[in-house]
Amino acid sequence: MPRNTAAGSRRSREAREDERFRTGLARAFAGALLFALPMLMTMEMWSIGFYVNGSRLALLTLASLPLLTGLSHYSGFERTTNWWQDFKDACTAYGIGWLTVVAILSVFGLLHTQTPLDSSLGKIAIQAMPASMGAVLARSQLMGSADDARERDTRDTSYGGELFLMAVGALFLALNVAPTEEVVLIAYKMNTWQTLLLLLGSVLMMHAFVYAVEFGGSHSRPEGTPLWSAFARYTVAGYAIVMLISLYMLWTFGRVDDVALRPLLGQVVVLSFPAALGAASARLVL
Amino acid sequence: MKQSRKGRGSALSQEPLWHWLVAAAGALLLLGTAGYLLYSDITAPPTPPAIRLQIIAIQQQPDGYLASIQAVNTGGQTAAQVQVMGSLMRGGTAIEEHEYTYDYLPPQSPRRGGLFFRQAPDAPGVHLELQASGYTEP
Repeated sequence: MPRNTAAGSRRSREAREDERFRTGLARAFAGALLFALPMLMTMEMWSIGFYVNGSRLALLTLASLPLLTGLSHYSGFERTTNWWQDFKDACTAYGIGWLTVVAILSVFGLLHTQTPLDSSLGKIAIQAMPASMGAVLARSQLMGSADDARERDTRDTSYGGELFLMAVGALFLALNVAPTEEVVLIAYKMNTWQTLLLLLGSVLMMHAFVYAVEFGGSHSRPEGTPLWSAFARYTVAGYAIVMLISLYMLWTFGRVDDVALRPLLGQVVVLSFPAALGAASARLVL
Repeated sequence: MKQSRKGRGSALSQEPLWHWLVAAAGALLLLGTAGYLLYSDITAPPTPPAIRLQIIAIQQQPDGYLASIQAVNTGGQTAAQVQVMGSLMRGGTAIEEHEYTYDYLPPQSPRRGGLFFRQAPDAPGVHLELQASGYTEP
């Protein structure tokens, strides 16, 4: 009798894990779609494959693996110390993101067999990035129960982890905005005072978002930490990361080539505004 | 993070050093950017666009010739929709004329373009005249 029960319970456990895995996959596809759809329906993204330097795009694609691994590690409701598991999840998420992008582009009639392979792959690769980020987040964020959500709130993320999450948030929004012409156009329309005002406003917005407004409980300042300490180490350092990410995105999309320093800084400040919003939001949500 | 109620003095020591190094690097980047923006505006207030054109190379192609051109906006403001006209001159008359347009020419940033001609721009007695004919404010 005990043998049957043990075998029976193992089978049902395996069946439950299978179902959990399938549900996770479905959620991952949903998350990929949610994160990639705005970009999938933007015209500039379709011609990406024609003008963006292949090596830069390859670098971005390769960089997405450690990014997704870190994202899986820091945003999951389980405090996984197993980086190998995170890496496997990251690879799965990238595959799901990639397939989602191919499916949607095919349905929209945007993938043609006559187009050279490198242009098509470029088109897919650039959109597979946000899609895979959505896939990782959907699997980890949406799969927990209420208890797990409470556990997530009280969990302490390290300083490096917080900086990483800000970088991810910045990357996501910068990736959505950087390929469009509007960034360049806005930068050219702004004079120096407006640029400085935007820079100051972005920094203050980052700080207010996380601390003063206190949307969520997980990031309120610990007792005794003075305001300037949090400002310097999180907001200032965070905005610097946002600026570097914005610069990297502009470089990837060829907006840095043959541009003098002054107009380039204008573009960086403009792109850093949505990217800062992404960074601050990432700290709150993840 | 350790918690302390002792006040400002101990806040400096309770965080690891590398936190402060990251913060310092960040502050440097931020203030450097703001500083450069201010400095560039104070020392060189924006002057109107001034387009300088030069021929980089002339290449023979199966269907004609390509004249590669570089344009630099030596002024202080960005010019949009900059139209570049190239006239092939023999004697005093233009024997062939073509044009192209730059979407944006930001200051001090060299940009390339090209003009296709049926006749050779580097033939004897023939020279290529370049002119920027107009622009709009972005």
